[in-house]
Amino acid sequence: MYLQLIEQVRHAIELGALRAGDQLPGIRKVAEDLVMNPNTVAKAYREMEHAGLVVLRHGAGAFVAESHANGQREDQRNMQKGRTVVHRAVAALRDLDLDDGAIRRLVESELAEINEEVHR
Amino acid sequence: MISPAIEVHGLTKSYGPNGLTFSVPHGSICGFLGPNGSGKTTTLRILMGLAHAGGGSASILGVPAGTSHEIFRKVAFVPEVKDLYPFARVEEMIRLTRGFYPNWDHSLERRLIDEFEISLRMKCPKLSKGTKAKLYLLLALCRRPELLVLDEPTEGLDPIAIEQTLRLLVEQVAERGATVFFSSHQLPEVEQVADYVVMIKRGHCVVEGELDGIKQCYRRVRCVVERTDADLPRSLANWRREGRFVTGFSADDADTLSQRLAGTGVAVLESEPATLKEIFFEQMEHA
Amino acid sequence: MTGSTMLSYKYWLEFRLRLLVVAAYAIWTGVITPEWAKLSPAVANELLGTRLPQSIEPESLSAWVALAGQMSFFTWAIALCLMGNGLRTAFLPRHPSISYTLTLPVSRSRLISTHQALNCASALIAAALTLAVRFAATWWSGDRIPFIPLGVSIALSTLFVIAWNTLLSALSMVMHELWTILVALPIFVISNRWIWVTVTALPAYGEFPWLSVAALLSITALALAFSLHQSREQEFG
Repeated sequence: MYLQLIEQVRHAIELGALRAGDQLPGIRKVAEDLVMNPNTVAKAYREMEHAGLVVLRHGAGAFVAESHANGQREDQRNMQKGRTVVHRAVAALRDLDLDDGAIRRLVESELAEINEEVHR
Repeated sequence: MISPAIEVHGLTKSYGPNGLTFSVPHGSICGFLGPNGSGKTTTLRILMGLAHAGGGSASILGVPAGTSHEIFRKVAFVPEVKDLYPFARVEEMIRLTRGFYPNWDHSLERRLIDEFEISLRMKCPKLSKGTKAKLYLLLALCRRPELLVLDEPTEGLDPIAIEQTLRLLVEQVAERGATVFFSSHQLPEVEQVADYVVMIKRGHCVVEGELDGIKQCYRRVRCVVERTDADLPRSLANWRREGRFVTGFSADDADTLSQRLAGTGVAVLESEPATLKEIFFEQMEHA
Repeated sequence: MTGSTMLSYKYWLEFRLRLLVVAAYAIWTGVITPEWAKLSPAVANELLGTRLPQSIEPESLSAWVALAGQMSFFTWAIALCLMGNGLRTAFLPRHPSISYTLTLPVSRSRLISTHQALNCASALIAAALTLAVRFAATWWSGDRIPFIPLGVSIALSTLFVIAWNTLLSALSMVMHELWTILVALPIFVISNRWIWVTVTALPAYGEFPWLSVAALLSITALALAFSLHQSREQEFG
C-alpha cells in the first residue's frame, strides 16, 4: 500500500503536478485521509527522502526535492517519448484486430521473456 | 527502548492460548489474527483481567494483567458483544462513563454523536448492532486511552461504518500516539491499517512482526518447468503444480531465487509480494 | 470522590424502578392496618404467635402489633427487590455489559462495597418511610403512638432486610437469580418466627436480642466477604 503512495508522488512529480519546493501534506493528514497506518506513511516519506524524491525538514514537513526535480525533467521527456512510442504501438496492434486483453498479454509475455533472458 | 504496550509470555489456558508469546510495540496498530477457536478472545479477556491465565504471564502498559483497575484510566476495551446496560439510555451511558474520566474528550464526543447519528434518548438494548458498536467505540475513544484493545471491531458493520471505525483508529494513533490492538477476521482491513501483526494458530504464535517485514519474506512466485514429468527441487516441495507452471511462496526475491534454481530446469516467471490473506492461508494450511 | 458519585449514578440507573416499587411498598406497609390488629391484644397475640408485649400501653398496642406482624413479609419483599451486588446484578442473567463494568477504573471491591452501602441506605430509607407513614396513620386515627417500640421494631427489621439482601446478592454471584429466589424461599419461611420474636422481643420484654443482632451482622459480613472473594476468583464476560 505504501508503495502505491510513493508511486503516486513520483508520478505527480513526473507530470509536473508537484514542483520543486512544493510541500507534501503532513503524515497525519495523509494517514487519516487515506485511512492508512501513520507509521507506514512515515516510512513512505522516509523512503522517498532516501530515493531523493523529497526532503524532510524538521518540524516543517516534506518538500519536493530540488535536484531531483531537475533530473526529473529529463525523465519527463523520456516518459513523453515513451508515451508516443506506446501510442503508435497500441494503434498498430489494434489495426491487427487484437483486443485490449490480447495486447496486454503480448506486452507482459514480452517483458517476462526479457526477464528470463536476463536471468539465464 | 520503550517497553512494549502489550507483552505476553508463555500464556496458557485450557480452551485458549497454549504457550502463547508475543509483544506489541507502542504506537503501532497491531492486528491479531487467527482462526476461530485459536484462543484470540480468551487472550484478550486475560489481558483485560476478565479471565485468569492458566500459566505464563501477560501485561499491558507494563502492568501485569488483572492486577490493577487504575490501568483502565489509560486502557480501553471494546469486546465482541457490544451490549451496554439494558436499563440505561445512550445519554446516561455517556454521562456515566464521562464521570469516571476527568480528562474526557468532550469535543470528540460531540463530533462522534454527530457523525454516528446516535440518538441520545434511546435505550441501549433498542440500538441496532452498528449503533451499539459505534457507541461502545465512542465510550472507549473519548477517554483518550493510551492503549485500545478491540475484539472484532468491524464485525457486522456496514462498509461506511467500517471505514469510520478504521479512520478513528488511525486518528488515535496519528494524533495521540496511542497503540491499537485488535483481533479481526477481515484481512483486507487489517492489511489497510495495521503495521504490526500477530497470527496465532491452536493457541500459539505462528507469525509476529512488522507487516512490511513479513511481506518481504513472503513473495508469491510463479515458475515454469521445462519438463512436466521431472521432480521439483526439494526447496519447492510443497509448491502447487499446474501443468508446466509451479506456484508457491518464497522469502527470496526473483533474482536470488533464479540463482538458486539455476540448472534445475525451473525458471522464475513472476514474483510479487503476497497479500495478507495469502500469507494467512499459507500459515494456516501448513502445521 | 468521582468514583462513588458515578457508582451511585449507576445504582440509580439500574435500581430506579425497583426503588420506586420499594418506596411504594414501604408506604403501603405503613398505611395498611391489618384487620387483626384492631382486635383485642390477646387475639392479635395469638394470630401473631408471639408473646404478649407487656411494656406497651394497651392504647398503643394495635399500632405496634399491626407493624410487627407485617415485618416478616417486609423483610422478604425488600431484600428480594434490592437483590444485586454491583457485579452480578439481579434479574440480568450473566449480562455481557459486565465487560464494560469491569474495565472501568474502579476496583471490584469498590463496586461491591458501594453497592452494599447504597442497598443499606435504601433499606433504611424504606424503613424510615414505613415508620413515618405508620406514625401519621396512628396519629390520624387518634390512637396513642408508641414511638419507641415502633422505632426499635423497625430498626431491627431493617437489620434483617440488610442481612437477607446481602445473602441473596452473594448467592446471585454463583447461581442464576431464579435459583437464588428458590433457595431463598425456604430460608424466609423458616426464619419467619425468628423475625417476629426478634422484632417484638425488646419492646415486649426489654430484652435486647444480642444473639440475633450478632447473628445478623455475621451473616451480612460473611455474605459480603463471599461476594468480594467471588469477584476476584470468577471469570467474567
